[in-house]
Amino acid sequence: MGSFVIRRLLILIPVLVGISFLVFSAMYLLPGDAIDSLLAETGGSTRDIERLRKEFGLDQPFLVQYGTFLSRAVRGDFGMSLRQRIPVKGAIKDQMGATIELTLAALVISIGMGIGLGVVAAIRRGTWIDTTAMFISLIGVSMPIFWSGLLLIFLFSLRLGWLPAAGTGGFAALILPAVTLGFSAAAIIARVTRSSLLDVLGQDYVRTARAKGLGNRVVVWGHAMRNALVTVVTIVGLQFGGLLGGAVVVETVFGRQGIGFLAADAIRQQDFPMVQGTVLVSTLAFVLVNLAVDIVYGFVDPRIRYA
Amino acid sequence: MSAPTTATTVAHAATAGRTRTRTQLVLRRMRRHPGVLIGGGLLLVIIAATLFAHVLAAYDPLDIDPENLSGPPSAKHPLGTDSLGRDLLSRVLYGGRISLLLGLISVAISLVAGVALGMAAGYFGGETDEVIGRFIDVLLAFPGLLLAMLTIFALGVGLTNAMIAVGISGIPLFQRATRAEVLSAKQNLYVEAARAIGAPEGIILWRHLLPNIIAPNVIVATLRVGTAIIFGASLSFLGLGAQAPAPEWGLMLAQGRTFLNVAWWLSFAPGLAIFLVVMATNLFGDGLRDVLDPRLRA
Amino acid sequence: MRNRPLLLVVIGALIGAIAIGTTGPASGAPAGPTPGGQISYATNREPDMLDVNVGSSRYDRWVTASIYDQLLAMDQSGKILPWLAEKWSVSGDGRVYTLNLKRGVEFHDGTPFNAEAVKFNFDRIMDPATKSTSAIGLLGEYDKTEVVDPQTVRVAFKRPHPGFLTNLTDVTLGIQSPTAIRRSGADYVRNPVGTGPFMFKEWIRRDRIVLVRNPKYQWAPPWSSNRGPAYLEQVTIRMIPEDGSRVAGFESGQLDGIGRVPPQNATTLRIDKRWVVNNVVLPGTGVQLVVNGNRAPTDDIAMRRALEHMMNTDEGSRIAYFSQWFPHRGSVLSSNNPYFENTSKMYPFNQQRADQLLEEGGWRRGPDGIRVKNNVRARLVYIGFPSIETTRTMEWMGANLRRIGVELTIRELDTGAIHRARQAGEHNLAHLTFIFLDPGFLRTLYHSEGSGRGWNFYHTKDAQIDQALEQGQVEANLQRREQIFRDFQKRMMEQAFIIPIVYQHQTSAVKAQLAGFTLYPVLGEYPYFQSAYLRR
Repeated sequence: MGSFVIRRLLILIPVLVGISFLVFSAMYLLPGDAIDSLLAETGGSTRDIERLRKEFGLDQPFLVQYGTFLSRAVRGDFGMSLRQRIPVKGAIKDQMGATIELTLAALVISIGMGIGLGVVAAIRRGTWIDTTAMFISLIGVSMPIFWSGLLLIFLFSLRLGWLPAAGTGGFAALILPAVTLGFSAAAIIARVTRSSLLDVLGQDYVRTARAKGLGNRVVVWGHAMRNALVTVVTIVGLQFGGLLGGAVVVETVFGRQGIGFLAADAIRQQDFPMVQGTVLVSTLAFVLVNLAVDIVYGFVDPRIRYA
Repeated sequence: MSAPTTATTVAHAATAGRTRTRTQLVLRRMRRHPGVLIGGGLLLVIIAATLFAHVLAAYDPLDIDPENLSGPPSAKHPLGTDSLGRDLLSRVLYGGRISLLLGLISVAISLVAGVALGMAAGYFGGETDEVIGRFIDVLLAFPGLLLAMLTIFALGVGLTNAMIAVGISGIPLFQRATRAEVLSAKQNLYVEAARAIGAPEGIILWRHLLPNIIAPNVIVATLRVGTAIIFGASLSFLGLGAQAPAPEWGLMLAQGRTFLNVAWWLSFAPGLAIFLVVMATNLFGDGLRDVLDPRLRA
Repeated sequence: MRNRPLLLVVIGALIGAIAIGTTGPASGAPAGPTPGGQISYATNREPDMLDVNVGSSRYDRWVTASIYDQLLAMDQSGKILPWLAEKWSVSGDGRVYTLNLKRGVEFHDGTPFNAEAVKFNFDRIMDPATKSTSAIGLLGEYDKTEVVDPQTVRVAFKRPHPGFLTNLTDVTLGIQSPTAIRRSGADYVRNPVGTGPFMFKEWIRRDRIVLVRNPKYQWAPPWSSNRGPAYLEQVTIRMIPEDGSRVAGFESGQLDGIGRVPPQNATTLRIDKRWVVNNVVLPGTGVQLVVNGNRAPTDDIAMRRALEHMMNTDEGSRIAYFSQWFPHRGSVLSSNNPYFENTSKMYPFNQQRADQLLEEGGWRRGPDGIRVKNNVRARLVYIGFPSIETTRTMEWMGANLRRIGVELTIRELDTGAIHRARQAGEHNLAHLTFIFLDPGFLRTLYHSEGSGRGWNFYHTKDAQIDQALEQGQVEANLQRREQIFRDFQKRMMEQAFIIPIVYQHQTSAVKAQLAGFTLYPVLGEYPYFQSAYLRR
């Protein structure tokens, strides 16, 4: 088992280097020079361009810059934000809590709703319950989250006045964004739960259990579900990426704090240290979650080892 | 936000040597599958509506009407007018062209690049496979929309760049589907025979392997179109895609949400349009998968 | 049970308090300013930093206006008044200014405000290591500051700087604590220390900045109705970028005031008696389009003049600004500038005239209705920063221009790429607005020396314009100076280098209970809380 974990970690290294390289070189492809951003916004003279460029190390050769970037990034140092002139690290730290809160809440909703819908559909396979559950799931995958978010705001904030339309902090402000984000992921989890449960239910040992006269509930929850969950866990890990990406949109729709909004804003403003920091941190979070899922998976199902 | 299927589930879909009867069988199954029928029908209607937007739309999508700002739905304007008095139905119809084009082009980019990388990885194997595999791992490591956003950051904001960005983020799906298929087809006798008699690799790839990977890629492509359209609209919604006054659905939503309290229809119509198109492609794609790969049928 | 007597006392006290509370207003005492209470006021965008020496975007100034005081003040009529400087004089050649500073003024950290502090700030602005982007422009061709005595400074310039006194009233030249700057180093941008009516307490990113009352404050600007410390204990500036959310938060009572009221909401807020809406014209330029005279098709003056005739500022104000921002009647300067020149007669809105100008200029309609001349298509590119109003303006204008066979492409970005594109002249129309007080600043925006690397976006060398801007900046005779700038404004319109649309406005809304709230005079964009109090 230990060697499996180590192997898995070793494979991670080239991927992490690749990610950092892509994130870094994106800045190089930028149409023009980001330093002008700063001067454009603050409305000052242009005499400082050369010095600022030097300060941000933009006068160095590509690989030297990449090396500096990498050695700093490893220590969590992404430099100063061009626009806000504060360390990117601090800004990310400030915003991370809100995003974690949002994605975790959405994850809980998506797992609860997704597994619930999937199990119901699988048990009542072929009935109108199955059709309805799968239709709800179809709606979930097909609705753009910025639209479902706006619909929820319109209904629950503007018309009914039950929940705040925007902002961070407090449970009430979390509900609508988390539901918006969780619903789209729930749809996918529901589909996977259903199909893997059906798969398992068709297998020999389940049939045996049934033949032995065990009740339907015991069969589904005791035997089949435990096995189907293995597949579901992987999908949940993958969905975490979708949630992190979706957080960008949800944070924008609901005017929430968060790293996704920070990233979107930084991209619009070509604030490259901020883009690099936010994208790298989000990606790293996703990679680590998947690593964790893989390892858990390896423990849960000894048949599967990383080849 | 991602396609409801993963490449590996469809990777086994293709079967070599399709015959006339096989095609007929597939067609007959398609005619009977409710998802294919409903999704496909809806899709046809939507495609026709956007293609004939210039005939169907009663107004120019860019023409403003200073006397009818944010007009509610009415007989003259079934979906209302936007905050500059432009007819929303006409804008939604023309906007369909942008969204469908974005879906098609970005999927084409993913498909071409993904198939090329997948064939190279599967056929040559070894180090080539290793390098390509790591590269795909890197692409897959970015959560959701973030890879597309990073691409926009590098290339600059705009509709064309949004298509490229969404296209790049879809490469791994096709690469994985193709690679798996090539790996299994490579084992086939006729490929080995072709190699043994020294046929050029290009010809082997083109004649013998390509036909095998069509079916799985068609399924992935169909299922990807919906995600691609949502990604594209999301980029525009975030201000990273299409620019005003283009009647792009995501952009229309972004512009309309300022008026959510006073004129809800501004954000309703374009959202509904995205929803319908994506739902249609998902239904159709799911159905297609069922039909082409009966083993996965639930 | 043992605590029953105490409980009774508490209940008794509560009843007493309620009784007082209910009889208070009934006694009919006039509700004068009462100290105490706290408010939240929301803006649309987070400041970048709170160090005005370094940078001073308009979003920064929303907050820094409460933290820092200026050496001089300007009242609504544009008259310059003493503030932290009690007296001032100018040398005969207009190069040396002597300022006598007020005694007893203290920074929030307890250190004294004095001549050394003024010198420290000015020298720091000019120090290349500071990387000042805003304040440096207001100091012109600064030479040095001498400390004559603790209460007197002498500021010398290499060339006459007639705009200096006006610039001293700008929030950007607020005086910061040298001690705090030395102590905090790079962190000062988030830990500002000034002499103003409010002291910085905390900054929670993307959410709020909290300011608390400066209890020692005795040096209010002459235009304030409150001579002493602020009444409010605490002011929380919230950042809510989403227009709808900001307005909703205000309407629901969560917020006591909001700035940047979207024009479409101002109309409805105005009707309601619970709220007070302030709408003021900002100084500087109006909202204007700068027309590139160095790129086809706007290198043709016939095309530029046709565009002027197609600008119906009344309709633009109504459509894009919901009649809350008033139509521009002049050229470059806002109506509240003493040098404002009304040029509204030059290009009345007239589509026929525009069509005719294009026909005469050789622009013929092609098969798709868009005009062409010498194989050049009448296609204009607009470049600007995104905002709801400017986007609406350009969408509206584009639809209008199609009627005279001119096509318009909109390019909007929130980045330096836009700035660079405008500097490189990739546009035909560029959006440009600036807030400033003294017209000496116009040189930065319109002199040909600013083409390519600066802010000149019409990219044309016009000797008459350049000369006027050079002279205007240093002309010590104010009457002659005024004539120079009036002629300049006319020339800009004759050459059709700019298309004014509306005046820049700041619309704020506060609860009616919040009395004494004002916007900064002339520089009206910034909320001023020192005289504000909550009516009981």
